[in-house]
Amino acid sequence: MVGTRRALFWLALKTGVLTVLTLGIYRFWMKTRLRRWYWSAIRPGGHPLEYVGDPIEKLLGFLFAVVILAFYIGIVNLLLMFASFALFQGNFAAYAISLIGVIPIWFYAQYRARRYVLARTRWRGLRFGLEPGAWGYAGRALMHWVITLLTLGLLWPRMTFWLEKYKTDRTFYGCARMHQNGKWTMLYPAMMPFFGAAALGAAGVAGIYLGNIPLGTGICIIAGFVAIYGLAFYRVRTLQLLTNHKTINGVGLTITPSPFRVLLIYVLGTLLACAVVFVPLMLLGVLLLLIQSADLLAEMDLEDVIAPIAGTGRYAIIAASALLYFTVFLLWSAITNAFITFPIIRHYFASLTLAPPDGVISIRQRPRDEFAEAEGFADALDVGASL
Amino acid sequence: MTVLKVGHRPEVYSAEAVYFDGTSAVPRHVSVTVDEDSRSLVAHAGADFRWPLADIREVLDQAGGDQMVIQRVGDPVQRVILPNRDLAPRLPNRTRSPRIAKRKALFGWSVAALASVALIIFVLVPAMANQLARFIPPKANAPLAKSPLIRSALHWTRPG
Repeated sequence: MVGTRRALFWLALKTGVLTVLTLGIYRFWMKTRLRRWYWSAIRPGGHPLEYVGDPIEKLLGFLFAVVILAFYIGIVNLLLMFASFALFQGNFAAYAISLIGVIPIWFYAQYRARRYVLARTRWRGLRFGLEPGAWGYAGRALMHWVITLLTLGLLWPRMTFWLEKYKTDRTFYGCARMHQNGKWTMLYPAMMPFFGAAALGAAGVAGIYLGNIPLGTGICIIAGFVAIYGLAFYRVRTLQLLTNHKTINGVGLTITPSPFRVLLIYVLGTLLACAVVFVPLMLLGVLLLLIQSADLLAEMDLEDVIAPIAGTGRYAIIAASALLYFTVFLLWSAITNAFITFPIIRHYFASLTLAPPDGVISIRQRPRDEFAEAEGFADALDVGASL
Repeated sequence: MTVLKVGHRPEVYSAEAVYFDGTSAVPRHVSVTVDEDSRSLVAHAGADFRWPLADIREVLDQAGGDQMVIQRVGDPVQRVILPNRDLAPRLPNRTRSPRIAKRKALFGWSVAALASVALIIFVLVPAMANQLARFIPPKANAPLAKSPLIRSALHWTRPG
């Protein structure tokens, strides 16, 4: 891994300012440039990854998704709404069906976004790739979620394993296919903190029932913290277990991230970001309050009191509020990039090893995946695959 | 006849680079120099290529700043990784587009996408709403007319 947080901070801030100045259009360029930077910071075996996505294809993908969503929100929902009124004399059925209809599209978008990002990633001059299969993924994800919810989370590792296997077994580096080995039950050790939290929570509830409310509540709060750590632990440990059971062309991958370290980066990074945006946010709050109270006082015929902030003064305050709002947004994005995303990626990849290292040498190039719609759906729906 | 070359002559450039040919994952260690007569970057040992300096583009936004990744215009896969940035001042078109993406088609599709959104919002939805309104039974219509949202909408659309 190479690169400094300072360089990334300035790149994120600079591209963020351009995004604000272009009313959001530059965000496709911002995303491309940040990804190029991140990818190049990762150098497995000494050679950097390369991101070759094009901002214009992202813009098109976004517009394409907007067309489909406009169709969905406009036409499909209109039909649902009329059907709902005609059949049930109310609009609740339409809202429910419309919301449920979005869930498969969400998983579909996640898979498509991954396919796009892999298709635009290079290492040693060779392309990565992901075979088409987004609807298959969406169907499986829905099924696994239902099973996981019905078993109160006990079969969560099963879902994590099979969904990752679905994606990994369709992943290519050059002409070589990646394989997810192992069994789903190997992920249960990652659930340990959750089981601990559940036991603690049960003890706390029992304490409250038995009349010792302070002790019971205290134990429940501790159980909550253990569960939060459990979430970080589960994500990091399953990633490690799954990665360490992946092979490509006979090459095995290994990473050794620390769940505690990852959680610490998240907590400290978020605290830092909060501390930095605190002052502009407070100022913004005061200004908004001023605008609000000016309206209120004007309605109460007390214009003399607000004379200093009326007329041009009022517009100056509105302009200052807008400026502060964007300052908060830009600082937040730059700090979370430099102090959360980058340190976590660095932590993951610092321990990455390939064994045997020269096993990739015989791999050849794969053809380009045109994929003109890019990651538009993921972008428009914000499926959390943003990096 | 003797030819005298007058003026500033750039320093001789040479570097030990890594070359990826874009068809295999094998890194090739090559010596590269600039051929001043043809104004090209030439590979010597390890690979065989000759890239005109004007055709070389830098792969931008790279972290670290210790090395420089270059590609040739119009070529999507070949890469040369130089150990330093000394070649940068010699590349007249270093930061220009490598012209890989088919941007013309992408622009065309973008315009088409915007046009279809406008069609949906301004033509299809109002037309369908008028057609479908006939199928709403009066029983369902009555509570609808009383809802505050619809009342305010009617208030705004009715003249006077």
